[in-house]
This record gives sequence, structure tokens and C-alpha cells, in this order.
Amino acid sequence: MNKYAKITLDGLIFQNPTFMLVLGTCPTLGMISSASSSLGMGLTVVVILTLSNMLISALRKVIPNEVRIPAYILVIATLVTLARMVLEKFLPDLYDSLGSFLALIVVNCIILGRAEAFASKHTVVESAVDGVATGFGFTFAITIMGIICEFLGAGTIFGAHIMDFKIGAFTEPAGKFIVYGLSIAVFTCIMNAVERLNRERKYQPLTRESLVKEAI
Amino acid sequence: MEKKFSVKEFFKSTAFKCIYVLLAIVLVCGVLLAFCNDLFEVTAEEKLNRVLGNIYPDGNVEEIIFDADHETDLETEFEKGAVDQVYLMDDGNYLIHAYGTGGFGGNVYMWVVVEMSDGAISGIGKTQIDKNDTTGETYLNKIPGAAFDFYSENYADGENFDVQDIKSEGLTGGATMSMTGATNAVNTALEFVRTQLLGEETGPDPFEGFSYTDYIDTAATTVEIAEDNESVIFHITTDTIYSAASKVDITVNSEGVITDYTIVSEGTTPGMGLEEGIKDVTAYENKTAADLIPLLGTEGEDGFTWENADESLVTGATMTNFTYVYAAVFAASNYQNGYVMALENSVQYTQYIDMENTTVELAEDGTSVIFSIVAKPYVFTSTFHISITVDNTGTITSMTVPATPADGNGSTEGFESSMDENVLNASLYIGKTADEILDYLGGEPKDDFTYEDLKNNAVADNTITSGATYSNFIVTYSALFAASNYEVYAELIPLKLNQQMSEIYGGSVVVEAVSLDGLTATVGKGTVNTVYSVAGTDDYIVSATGNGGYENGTVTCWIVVETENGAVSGIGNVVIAGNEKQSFISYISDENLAHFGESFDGSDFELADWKNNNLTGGASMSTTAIINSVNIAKNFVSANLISGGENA
Repeated sequence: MNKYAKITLDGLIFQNPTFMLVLGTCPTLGMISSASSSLGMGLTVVVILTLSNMLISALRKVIPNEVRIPAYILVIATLVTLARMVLEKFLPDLYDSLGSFLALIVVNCIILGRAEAFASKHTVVESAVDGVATGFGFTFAITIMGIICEFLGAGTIFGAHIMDFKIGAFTEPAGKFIVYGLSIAVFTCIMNAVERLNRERKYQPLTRESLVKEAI
Repeated sequence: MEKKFSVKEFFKSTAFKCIYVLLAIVLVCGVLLAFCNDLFEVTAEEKLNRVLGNIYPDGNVEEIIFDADHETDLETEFEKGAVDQVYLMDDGNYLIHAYGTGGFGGNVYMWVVVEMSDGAISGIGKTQIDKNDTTGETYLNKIPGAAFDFYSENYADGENFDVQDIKSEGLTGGATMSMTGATNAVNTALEFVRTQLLGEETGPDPFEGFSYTDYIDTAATTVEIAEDNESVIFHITTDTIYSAASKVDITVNSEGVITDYTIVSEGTTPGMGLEEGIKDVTAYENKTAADLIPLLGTEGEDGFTWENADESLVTGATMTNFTYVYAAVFAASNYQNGYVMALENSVQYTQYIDMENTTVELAEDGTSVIFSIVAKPYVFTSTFHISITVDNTGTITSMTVPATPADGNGSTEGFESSMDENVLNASLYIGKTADEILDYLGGEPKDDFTYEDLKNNAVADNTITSGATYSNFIVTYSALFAASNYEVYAELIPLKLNQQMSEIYGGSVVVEAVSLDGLTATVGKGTVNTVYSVAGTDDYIVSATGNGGYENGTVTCWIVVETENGAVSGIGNVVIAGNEKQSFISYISDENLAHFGESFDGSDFELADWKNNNLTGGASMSTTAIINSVNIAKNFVSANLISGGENA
């Protein structure tokens, strides 16, 4: 498999930061009461994660190992501050909906984790691909959960009224935790099933014909 | 041998590399952020345009009253919030950015549209929380959108909003404190428009002189006399500490004992299980303030605080318990003040009476009441000055209606002769009671009489001729005011006098006027105006005016003259009541006035003593007038009122 494809699939699925690595739980639980705010948070993380990966990858040979974490934090904090300025200027509604969680992106484990685990060891292009893929993996995860919580908790999806029945608990932290946990469980089940199917497809029993075929 | 670490090696070391790499990153990031901060700055105008887009899409700003770039001399800070931006819109409404205190995380900032019509507030338009400036309100998202419609749907002229009303409609969403801050912001915006833009006066605090008011919302607290005509019911709204305001009704008898304590609405944050920690308030019944004050704990520099409350109040709802006890102490301590306030509030028919300039006093017979009424302008009339005497049967015994505008007749000039003759000579009112005067206005008491009521009754049956009907109405209304309120004022006047004298004396007293008939009131360098004897003591409270002030002016003082064994034994409090031409009267310090009591030796006071003690404060001539007034008072009492005096 092409390395970029592998990086992309890892970021989206196999090392999905929300369902597989369980990183970035704070903004996840903070934003999934609404699908639109989840999507907004996700897209903002995509941009910041991509840029921070690229910058840190570009500076990886310059930053001494002893001060890598403070240096990464400085870069990430600068990018987040820039993102706040841009959002406040051009997308004030999104800026209002993200609220204090926008600033908390600085300490989002996903961004620092990918910087430490990937960007500091790979090229700029590879880091960019990883940033985009991981960011979209995060976006996909919290948007799905946002849709579920908003639908069950308010009877709407992206603000559009769907049904009158609603369970208020799904807009509260307890309900969001339940949705998060169940989502991880469902995702893991799906991944295990896919893995099992792949194994079964690859597995060939030892028979006389297969041995003959191999000998020839 | 240890190898020394040289400077050259330091600059080649990893440590130095770490430092300069970090510094370089900081520098680059700082420059980039500074550049972008200017590039992406959201100006105040842009913020305003966004707000207008949300809550005023069809409006434009006609005039900036004030904002961050335009200063103002108007008062912008109020009791429960402040205003920092005010815009006049092209439709005549005001768009105001205000904050209110009492929120969960501090202040709650709101944009408020105050709707105007014909120069008066007609309602509240759209309101919106400014999330940019409001921080710490973590429950903000729980508030339903309908909560903010409450303000526009429930506006009442002259009244402020109460978060309890919003809570009772289930609209706070559990974010009661955030809604308290939002409500205070809306009320602050209203108060700003009323007092600063419309010129309405806030008036003196009616609870001035009451004790234990720190945790009482005096703007929302009312008082009334109970059915037994003796007890006082305090309808108290408590201030918020960490929950919404509570409303309680506390009844106090004339002994200062709480006879009933009822919680009307409870302010504890709902859904947090704190209600179980609230102590039973009926335990405070049959208690006095002295019994309950220990529960408030130790009084610090800033008064009582819930943190020092007695441990019996410390439960999951300590703050609520504290405020309930505090409310009980407030009520039990202020029976007398509350009774006077309740009496004042029971005065009827004040709609057209200028209560600030109207004076009421007891007549010389000690039972009749003299009303010197100033009636407000009404339609085409200007103020009327009418004097009415009512006896102890509630009957008008004399009434003077001025004949000309120069004397105080408020008719439009030239129309005073069109007034009904029987109104001008007051023959319609003299010898009549309130019920009989009410007949001229239809016979049924109500709060909103107009000239139509006179026209439909007294004019219709020819009791009063038409022509100058507005003037006839105002005079009739003034007579109704006087006759209806005789009993209230007959009781109120001595109570207020005792209240006033208690403040001067420095303790609760009952006083009795001393007749000055046959006594020489002009003694030495001034005049004695009034003398009261203090019941239960040999002391007197004397009002005296001393000459010799700045620019030959005078100073009038209240002086407490203490006597013992037939002689003046000391001077108590000295309080300045008024002055003429004393431009430097404000330089007179409390120490100046206290020196009378400290230096009393029986002889007349001299200015030199004040000068030697550096007490004049640069106002020597005013001090001279004060000294003269005190000497006059002392000598008058000595000569006329105590045994052994010349004229006693």
C-alpha cells in the first residue's frame, strides 16, 4: 500500500484519535450536544493540526530534543490564537458557538500527540497528510456523535427540526458520555469484524492441492 | 583535575541551543501575532454592526450617546450594574450595552433595546447576551430562548423586572444566577434611560435610617400595617448571594417580636438537593433581633457575612439560612421605622399632589392638622398652593384657595375668575368630610380620578359650575387628599418628630413640644425657634439660630441641652439644621461640633477655644454663629425651663 494511503487510513480509521486512541475527550464531550458546533470544532482542528504538523516537521531538525514539548506548545498556541483571530473576524457565529473550547485546542492531546508521535519523525508532506487525515478522523467521529446527541436530545439535526420527541439527558454530560462510550464500542465491533473478515479471506487451509501448487 | 566549562563551550552547548531556539520561536510567534492582531482586529463598529444584524436588522444608528470612543458626563454606574454603550436608533429607540451583577461567574453583559414612544419608555425590544464579554457563565446554554422574550412580553411602566417571575415561569433552565445577572443588566439599562435620558429622579432611599439592610433588596421590599393596626408586615426581597433572591413575609409587633414568618418564594438553586438543608424559619417566630443576631456570627469590618454564620446555620444551604436569619433581624430591628414607612405609604390620593413640597403639621390645638398643599400642574393649570385644616373628626374646618396666580392660584391667567365661586371661597369643602367631598367625584373611591369625574357628577348636578373645570377639579382633589389623610398624618407627625429627634438625640426618644408663650425667645446673639422636652429625662432638644456668621448670615442648629438637679449639666449632640450665606459651612467638622460636649464647663462657649484647638477648619465665622446658637439654647433652658431659672 502506498505510504500516503496508509497514513490517511490510519488517521481516519485504524488510529482514529477519538474512537481508537481516545484522545481529545474534553472538546469531544463539550461540543457533541450540537452537530453544527461539532463540525465546526472538527474543521478548526483539521486546520490547526495540519499546520502544526507541517511547522513542527519543518523545525524537527532544529528544535533540540530537550525542549521539544515547550517548543511544540508555543507553535500550537500561536496557531490557535491566529485561528481565534480569523474566526472572530470572518466567522463570528462559529466563533461564538465554539466559545471557550476554541482556546482549549492548545491543550488538545490529539495535536500535541501527533506532533510528538508523527510530525517530529516524518517529512513535511507526510506530516501534512497525517494532520489532514487525523483531523478528519476526529471531525467524522465528533460530528457523528453530535448528530446522535442532537437528534436524541433536541429532536433536530444541524438545527433542522426532525421530531418532537426528545430525551434531555443526551444534551447533558451523562448522556454524552453514554453516546461516546457506545460509539467507541460500535466502532471497535465494526473494526474487529472487518479484521476477522480480512483474516478469513487471507487464511488458506493446508491441502494437498495447495502444497502441489506451491511445489510447482 | 576538573575541566572548566568555558564561555566558548557554553555557546556550543545544547543548553544554549535550547535557549536560543526557544527565544527564536517566541520572537517569530510574537511578531506574527502582533501583525495579525492588527490585521484581523474586530473594530467596535464591526461588533456593533453584528449586533445590529442580529437584533436590529432594519435599524440604523442615528446618534452615539456614548461608547468606548465617545465619553459622557452621564451617570453610567448603578446599584446592580453599569452601562458602557448607548446608541439612539433612527426609530427613536435606544440600543444599550449593559452588564448586571449577580451572575454565576460574575457580570452578565447584555444588549438591550429600550423602546420609546412619545418621549417615554414604552417597552423592551429584543435582548441578547453578549457572549464575547460574558465569561464564566457555564450554564448559559441551558437558558431557553423564550427566557429573553420575557422582558418584552412583561414590561410594566415604571417597574423593574424580577428574576423570581422568570423563575416561576420555568424559564431559567436551572441557570438562575445567569438570569439574575441578565435581569439586572436589563433593569440597569432601564434605570439609565429613566434617570439619565428622561431626567426622572431616583429620590432618596426610603430605607435610609433602617438598620441591617446589607442583604436586603430595598428597591423590592415593601411594608404595610397589619389588620390589628399595630403590627407591621415586612414583605422582604433578599439580595442574592449564591442563589436567586428569596421573598419572605415577616410580621413584627410593637415589642419588636416576630409573630409570623412566611416564605413566599424560595431562592435556593433548584435541583441541587439544597432544599433539605434549609432551616425551618418558624423557629425565628417569637424572637427579637437581640435573640437572632448571635446566629449571624461575628460582625467584621464589612458587617456580617455568611462565612462567619453560627454553625447551626451551616448546612448545604448555609447562604440561604443566613439570608433568612438576616431578614428576620432586619424586620425585628426596624419595627418603628417600618411602622412610619407603612403609614407614609398608606397616604391616599397623591396623584396630583406634589408630595415633596407639600407640608403637614399639627395645629396649635394639638389635634387638628394643617395641610399646606402644593398641587401639581394638571392639563392647563400650573401649581396650586392651598392651605387646609382638618380637625380630629376628619372635617375640614378651614381652607384657603388663593384668588390670583400671584398668590398661588394655578389657573391660566385670566381664567381664575372662571372658577366656581364656591370652590374659590371653599364653602363647598368647609365642614365636609372625605366621604362628602368624594360625592363631588362620583362617590366611589379610586386611584385614578380625572376632571371627567367632577364633570360627570358635581358639574352635572350643578353643584359646581363649569368653566375652569381643571382648576375646580384640582381644588376638589386637594380637599379630598386633606380630609382623607387626617388620621394618617395625625399619627404620623408625632412619630416622624420622635424619629427626627431620636436621630438628633442619639437614641430612641419621645419628645413633647414646650410652649414658648410668655418666654423671651430672642436671647443674646440669636433666636430660639423650638424646644422639645425628652420624656423620661431632664434633657431638652432646642432649635436655635445663631447670628454672626459669614457675611452676617446665620446658622440654625439642634442642640441637646442636658440638665440635672436644676442646672444645665452638659451639651449633648449638636446638629446643623440650616444656614444663611454660610459658604464654608461644609468645613465644619464633626470634631468641631463634638467639642461643645467635651469642653462644657457651665460658662458660655468662646470662639478662642475652638481656634486654640484648631477646630474651626477655616470657617471661623460659621463657627461663631454655631457657638452663638448653642449659648442661646443653653442660656434659654437655664433661664426659662429648669427650676431655679428666672422664668421657670
